[in-house]
Amino acid sequence: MLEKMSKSSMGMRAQEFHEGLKDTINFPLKDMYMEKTLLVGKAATLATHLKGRDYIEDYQTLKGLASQLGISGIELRHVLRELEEIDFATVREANSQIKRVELRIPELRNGYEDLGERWIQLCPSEIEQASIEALETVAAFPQHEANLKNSLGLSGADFNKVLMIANSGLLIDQYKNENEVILYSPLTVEEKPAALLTLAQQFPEDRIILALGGVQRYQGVPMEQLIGTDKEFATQAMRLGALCPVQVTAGATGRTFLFTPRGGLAREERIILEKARAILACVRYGEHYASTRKIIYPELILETLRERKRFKYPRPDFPEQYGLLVIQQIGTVEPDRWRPGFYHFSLIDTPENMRALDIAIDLLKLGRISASKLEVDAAALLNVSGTFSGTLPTRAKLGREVALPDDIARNYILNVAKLTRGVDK
Amino acid sequence: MITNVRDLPLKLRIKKILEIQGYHCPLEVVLSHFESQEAKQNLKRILLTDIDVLGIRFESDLRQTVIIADCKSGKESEANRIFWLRGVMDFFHAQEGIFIKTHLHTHARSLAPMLGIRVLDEQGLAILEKGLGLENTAHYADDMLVYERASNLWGIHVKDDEKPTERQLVLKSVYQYLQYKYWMADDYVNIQTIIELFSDIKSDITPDHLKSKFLAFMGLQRLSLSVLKMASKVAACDPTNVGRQFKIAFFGGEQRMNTSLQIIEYLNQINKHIRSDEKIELEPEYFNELAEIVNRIILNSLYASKILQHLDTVVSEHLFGSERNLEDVMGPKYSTEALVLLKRIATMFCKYTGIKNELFEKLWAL
Repeated sequence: MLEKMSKSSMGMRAQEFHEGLKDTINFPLKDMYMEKTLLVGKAATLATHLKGRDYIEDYQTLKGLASQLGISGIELRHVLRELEEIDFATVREANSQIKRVELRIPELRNGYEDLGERWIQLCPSEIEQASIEALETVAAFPQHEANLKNSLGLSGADFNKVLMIANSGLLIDQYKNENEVILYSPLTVEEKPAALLTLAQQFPEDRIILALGGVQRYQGVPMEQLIGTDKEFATQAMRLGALCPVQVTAGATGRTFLFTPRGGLAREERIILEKARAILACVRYGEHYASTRKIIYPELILETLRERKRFKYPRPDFPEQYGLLVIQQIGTVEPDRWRPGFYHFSLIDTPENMRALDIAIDLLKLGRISASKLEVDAAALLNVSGTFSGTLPTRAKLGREVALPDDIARNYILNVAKLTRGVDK
Repeated sequence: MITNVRDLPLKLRIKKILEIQGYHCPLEVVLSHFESQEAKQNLKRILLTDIDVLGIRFESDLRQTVIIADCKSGKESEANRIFWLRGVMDFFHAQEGIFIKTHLHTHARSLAPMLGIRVLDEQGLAILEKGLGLENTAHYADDMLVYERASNLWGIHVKDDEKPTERQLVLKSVYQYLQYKYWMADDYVNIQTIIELFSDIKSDITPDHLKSKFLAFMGLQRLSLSVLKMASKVAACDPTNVGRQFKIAFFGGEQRMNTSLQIIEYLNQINKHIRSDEKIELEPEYFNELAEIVNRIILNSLYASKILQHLDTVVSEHLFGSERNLEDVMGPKYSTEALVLLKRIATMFCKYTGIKNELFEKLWAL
């Protein structure tokens, strides 16, 4: 399976493990078995938040940002070294002090490829490889526990460790269905996987994986663009909650745009995600249904909005196209002073809206979002020149304590006892 | 390197005047034509003309301003030189030309403005210097020293009774490219050729020799100039779609890119026939990183436009021994953004040519 996975997916999954496990405390398994994956994951998370900057001179603020991303001050240097290894950064020192971190994080291409390559170079343990593989498989479609165990080829104890780690990171969860244990990933299932399982009774599993993958690659795909079985599948999936629709109504016509689900989010994070989907749906509307001058480069439109907080030119159809964003308090539409019938669209510049816009861009470019992007706003911490401008949150986050299953805990205690006695093997 | 020592003080003075206004000023740019010789395999260089001072400035939005200065201290015909300068200006798409002569006749003063050229005699030059706060001429001694050191470090040195070795000839081709061919080639050709040439000499240039370091810095200077020109071109075409525009610019235009793609496809078909697994890619290894750099230059054009000024200062100040702080030397013109972008170009240059990082140790230390 790992051979079939792209390096880019490996990099992304490593990031998901870090972001899922970063708030866990007293959970020795992650330190015992996931060291390399978490290191690459931390590097991926930091790179995601520093993208678009040329350098950082204020190391203290960088430590502050890193801390919010689950990278401690002591770890930061190691994580930066990983970014140096893949040529995303250079740390300049003067008199044994960090003078400047010079950044080269790719913006035009997908940097996860390099991170995945690095993960392979670090020779991750069998448990790490199995964890990445398990997450990739389960995120694509819920799996019977027994089938997954077989395909991973692990011993019972090791398989339990993989599940324990992924479960503690809120990456894989269990669902009991008529005496069968089904594993699913909250990354791709919003509540329970029952919807997908029902779908599986109507459509072949590989067909579902293909269709969901298609929506993930093109988030906000217009329902009307789907044909044949795809449309049939999407209609069912939407009805059962396996796909998330956003409707944009222009005049009397409503258009539906589809997104893949994303579970495991706190309430405020879900609000940001919903806003991000609304933004992207409106842009997709302009891309597919604008009466004149359709959007050719949706990514650029969103980048412009982020940069200028408004679109360059007024248009007559902005009230219809972006009405949803006005309702959701994401933007405003104002008439042009000089051209009657033309309107300007401006973004309401709040941290929540700006983060939603960033997430919309990620959805468009990568088809997925990083959990830390929903939680942390790097731009609020670092200004353009890399100096501190925002206020660090003073509230400490509560860690999630993980209760180890009895057998793993017992084994762990026995091993520590051996180590204490002086056993070295 | 010195072609006319008599005119040198004038050249250095106008160079300083332009540099203080943000121009990057290569001195004594030689334009040559290369002709194939029937009997031999190599090309013969035919000197066309030389430009005393070429001034190139990137504005904050990456537009280019080009100035050409011609300096004469002898008894040359002023009218001839002014007409010649106009022609060279057109060749380089220069917006301005300056003709500097120790003493000027009245007819030159009336002819020059008709051809869009500014004229200066020694007295006029002194007034201009004063206006720009350059009245203290003591710095020319420093500039002269830098010029002489640079001249001594340039080119291969072979004793009269000896023949150049094979490696020296390879090095010579690099010097020749940077000095002559560079000015006649398109930027996409220059970028690719500089990287290719330096990878050929990666084991010949070592950080133990100042001569090697100087050559590496000159390579970096020419590369940076071409990268900036390419960014300027991309920004002028469509700054909202850097990825696509960069690709077009890098392959010399849409038509040429399509032709190249086709050729690569044919080569891959041949490869398949001879059962070779190697797949030839159109984009060289450094393509993605160069695209990222161009993207950052465009997004940061206010600072990126100063990259060459920073590099010039590093060469004249740090490479030749001064340890003065770059921020102090450059004053308000200093920009960390420009320095970091310059280092990014240098990093790419080292990585994809295989030349040693230590050649730029003075730059990394900043």
